[in-house]
Amino acid sequence: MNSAAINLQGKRILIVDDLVEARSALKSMLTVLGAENVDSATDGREAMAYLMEREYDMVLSDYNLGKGKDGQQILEEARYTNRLKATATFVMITGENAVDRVMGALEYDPDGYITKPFTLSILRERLYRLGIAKSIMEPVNQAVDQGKIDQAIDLARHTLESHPRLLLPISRLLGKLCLGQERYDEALEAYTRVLESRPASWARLGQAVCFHFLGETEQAVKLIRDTLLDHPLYVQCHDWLAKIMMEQGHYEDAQKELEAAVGTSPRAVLRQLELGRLALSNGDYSVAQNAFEQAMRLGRFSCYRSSDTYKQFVEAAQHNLDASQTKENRILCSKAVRALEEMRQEFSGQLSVVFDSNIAESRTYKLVANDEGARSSADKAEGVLARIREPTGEQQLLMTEVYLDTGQQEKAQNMVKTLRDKGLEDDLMKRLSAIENQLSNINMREMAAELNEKGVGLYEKGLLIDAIEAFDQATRYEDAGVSVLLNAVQAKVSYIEKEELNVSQLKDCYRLLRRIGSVGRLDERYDRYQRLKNSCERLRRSAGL
Amino acid sequence: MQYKDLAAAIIHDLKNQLQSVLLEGERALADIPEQYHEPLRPLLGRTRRVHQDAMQLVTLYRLNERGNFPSDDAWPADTIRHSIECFDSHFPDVQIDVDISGECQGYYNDFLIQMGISNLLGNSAQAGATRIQIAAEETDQGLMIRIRDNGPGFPEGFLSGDKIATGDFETDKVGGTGLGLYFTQLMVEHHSTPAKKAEMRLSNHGDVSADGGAQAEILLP
Repeated sequence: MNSAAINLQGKRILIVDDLVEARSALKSMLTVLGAENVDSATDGREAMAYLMEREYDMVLSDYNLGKGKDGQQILEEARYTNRLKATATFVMITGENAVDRVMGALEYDPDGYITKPFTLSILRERLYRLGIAKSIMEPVNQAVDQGKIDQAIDLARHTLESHPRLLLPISRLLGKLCLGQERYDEALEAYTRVLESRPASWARLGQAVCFHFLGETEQAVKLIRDTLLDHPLYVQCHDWLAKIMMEQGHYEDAQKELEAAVGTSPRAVLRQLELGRLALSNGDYSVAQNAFEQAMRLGRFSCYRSSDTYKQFVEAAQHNLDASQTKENRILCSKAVRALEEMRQEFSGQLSVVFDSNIAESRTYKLVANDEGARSSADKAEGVLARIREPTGEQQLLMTEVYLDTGQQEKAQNMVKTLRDKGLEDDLMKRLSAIENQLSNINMREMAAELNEKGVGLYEKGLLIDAIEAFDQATRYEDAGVSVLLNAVQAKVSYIEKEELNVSQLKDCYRLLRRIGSVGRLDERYDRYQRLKNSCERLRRSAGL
Repeated sequence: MQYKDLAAAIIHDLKNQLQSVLLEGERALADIPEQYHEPLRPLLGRTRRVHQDAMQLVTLYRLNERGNFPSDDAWPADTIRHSIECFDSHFPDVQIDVDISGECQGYYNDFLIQMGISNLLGNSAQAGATRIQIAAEETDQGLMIRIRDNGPGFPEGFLSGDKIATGDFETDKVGGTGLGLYFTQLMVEHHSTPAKKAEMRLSNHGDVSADGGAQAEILLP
């Protein structure tokens, strides 16, 4: 037999396990097998730090690493960042209950698996088998590392011809490479050949993906659904279904698939992000908020860390916030504010990110009616914007919107002017026009308030005709409030009582009262409203109308 | 959480704890002078057995819950060596002959088949076999693994096949012969494909030492 034929001497090896006993046991086994350069990491973060620093020939990682990243994510990051060559070996160590979760990835698949518990001889044999396959496939992987994918595909074909017993690993690689090169017919051929003798789920999914790209989407969906029946924890099936549903415009169905995938495998940052974005556009804000929150947490120490995730989380949370003073609102608001703080800290070197974060913070406070907080964050945003050498139109627009939110009309007005002069793209121009509309409404409300004040002054001086004229102007504004309308009625009633019974003035009074509608008993203006209404009734009767 | 999930979680923990006990026991054994090993060995042997039972329970639960034990390239020479490793410590006096080429390759779930074969080996030893012969070969039908012993053979009732499948066991024996076989059968059948069935055939033609014995043949497509 083959047992002694492995020597790890000279190989640089990284082991990742959160349990100290497991690490030391594995390390001593590897030492028995000749390994001298072995580094150990306790979690994904440490593992990535090692991978960034050194080039490894082999990584052995436990799948379940407790909190934080799992082994699959380490693999994805290591390959995604090109820190682990295709020629290097990645071995996933799994508990017997997690095997089916880790065997499906089409794109980032480990070279091999070892199920726990394992003994030295199991490890030795696994590494021996893997070593054989890896060395036969070495030229293919070298081409992959050099970016010569078409050449790698040719080499893989030849290798398969000379080593038919490596049907599974070579076909898997071949399928992946062909998919990446959009050579779907050939990928399909590779997967189909596997399925002729081995009913592997990954080959079925691969086949379905090819069908989809070749325009046979219905067949693809059916095949994936069938695969899921046999292999319900195969999350990548849900991912692909979601992708297909989205392309077909079935966004809610797509969201359901992603939710199912996240339910099975909640730790993948990219999947959470995808779900968050989809749910956000579907208007399902609680799902979106939760997904972005997970993505934020999981992405914290990963290559997928991005300020957008924080922003999107807060955006989703904002939809779930309102001005009521509930515990939920308070908790969510402080969660959002904390996220924004972290965003500023993590990306403190990027002024535009700091700016975005202050803007989002101001809006968050505004939503929970914390005007002071909103204003203070707006001031911070203003300070940051001043330090940005060439602010974009988008940034200036955001600032303008926040000026408006925080009652700083004059600044908003100035910024609008600047932006008008500068000129903006179409979609930004629309937002600018909306701001201008809002500004002119605000101006009108202010004018109405001014006229009302003038009317009150004239009324107090007993100049009823002039007061009525001022109030009439004030009530011409659609936004005129109940108090203004009541003031107008009162001026007219006083005039009729003191000067003459003017029918058109009386009719005006009724028109204004109708406009007010009803005033609730608990409203502080209720008494005044009732009194004026009664006065009008009395005047109407005495006029014989 | 439903009762069965809770039960599964508890058994899972039990299995992990036992695994730790075994590891610690082995480590302790390595530190203790040889002359004190004797009384500790049966303790570890029993623990290993309970651990294996717990593994079986967890596996059964997952088979029942339509959990997937994916197949992959696998090598019976490796698989069987591991089954024997587990077995050896329980029954150091049973002689096992293996006739499998290192190149012989199959497509199955290593974990399940290893456990299934461990069951068969345990069965043989408990029935009184002193020699076991294991062979494997690739055939047109798939991978064939054959296990023969020189024990008394299977009781008559088992050979019809029906008894195992219906779960009508004799569990009064020490070691519960029927249960182990039933587990193994389930694990083997998990490898059936729509095109071909995976099966285990039991017979009494096994002839390690020309005096009969039990034979189990496992065919994995």
